[in-house]
Amino acid sequence: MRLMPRSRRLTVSIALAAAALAIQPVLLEAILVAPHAVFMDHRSRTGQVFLVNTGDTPEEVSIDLKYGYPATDSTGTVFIKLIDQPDSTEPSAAAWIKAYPRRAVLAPGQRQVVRLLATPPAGLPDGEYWSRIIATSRGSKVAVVGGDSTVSAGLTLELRTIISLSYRKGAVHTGVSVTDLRANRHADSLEIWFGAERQGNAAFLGTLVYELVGEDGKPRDQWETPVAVYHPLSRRYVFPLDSVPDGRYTLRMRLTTARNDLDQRNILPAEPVTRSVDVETR
Amino acid sequence: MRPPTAALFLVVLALLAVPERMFGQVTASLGATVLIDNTALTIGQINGLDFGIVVPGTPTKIGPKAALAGKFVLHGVKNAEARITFALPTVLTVGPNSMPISFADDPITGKFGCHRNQDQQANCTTYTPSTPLVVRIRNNAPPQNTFYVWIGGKVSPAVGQQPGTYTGLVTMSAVYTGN
Repeated sequence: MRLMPRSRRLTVSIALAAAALAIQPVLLEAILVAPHAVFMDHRSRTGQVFLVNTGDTPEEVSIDLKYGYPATDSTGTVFIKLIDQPDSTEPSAAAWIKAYPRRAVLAPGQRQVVRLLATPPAGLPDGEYWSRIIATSRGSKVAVVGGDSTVSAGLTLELRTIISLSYRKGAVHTGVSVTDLRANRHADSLEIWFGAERQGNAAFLGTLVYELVGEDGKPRDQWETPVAVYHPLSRRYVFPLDSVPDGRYTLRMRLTTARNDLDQRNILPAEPVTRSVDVETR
Repeated sequence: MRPPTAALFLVVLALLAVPERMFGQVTASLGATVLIDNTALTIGQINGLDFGIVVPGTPTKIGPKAALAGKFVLHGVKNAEARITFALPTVLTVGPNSMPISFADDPITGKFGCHRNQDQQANCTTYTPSTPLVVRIRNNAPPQNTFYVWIGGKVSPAVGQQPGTYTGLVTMSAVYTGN
């Protein structure tokens, strides 16, 4: 079977997404950004992002690129660490990838293709380079009814959508090492601390599967979550234990590069990693 | 609801789909389309947070479960993790004049933010909107791949507050964490 050309598929998909949104309640302001992860390579040095105004008012949209990656804070919560001036050790592509146009006004329903063009420095070593694409949209001013002698108040809104960009040159490879795996019961939930470090010269994009296995060897529950390891992270997960009776269990963890939200052509293979740890849920 | 717009999109979709069917690529095309279709990310505002006309000297509050609360919706990759943050103003202004606005927890109204992965405001979970929200998009196919946030607030016009339409800027950010 022959697949549709990539650009055509994206066009059709955006029409589908926009159509789906069109049957939703009226949106005062809304901006659709697709895809949610952009991959570019050194051969073509180009990429594209689609913007669609799915709201009912004109939107002024600007595009910026800034270096950033997922990181975790002391509570194990993930956030995107954005760095304005990354040092030379950071694999930043933000300075040498440009977006065209950088600014546009979109009428309701209007679609805009933003082209991305890379001009990497000469002698760029093989590897993966990262940036975040920030799409900022501003709608029309708030319409607050008030007369000359009245006091009225309202808010205007700015919407920022931040997606990832990966630029790959030459031989890229990835892997991951698990640096921490702890689990214990916390109230009616299972709290898991997961630490990981990336191997290779590209981000590890994969899926983390946890399976809680009873002493009889039977699986009692399973949770699955995508995972992205750019820099070392220490992540806290909390899963409900509603259906799990008190007892002693083994938590099995399996980390693979399977991702159902990314084009398979952009997945870098890596060896699966498995670990296990004992858990008492009494 | 916007039936004419929806109908227009469906017509466009039908026209786009016909050539693929003619070349016998239905299965491959549909499979590929579904894959990419799920990767769009949309953030939108359904209701603006509008306090309307306020009385000088009398604080006005809008709770996050009130009909006048600001309402936002995120559509994205199902089950994907997103971090939603709000940059909130402390004052609203008109010309040189200003009026305090607060989103901090209130002893009576409680927290001014609320969230849920479905459009069920009455059953949403309250939170303090100045704190980041790390959530998962509803694990359903479009258009049910949603996450909703409602925001209220409190304005405190002073006695003798100068007339005018006071406004401030709220920035809502939605980031796929990739996790």
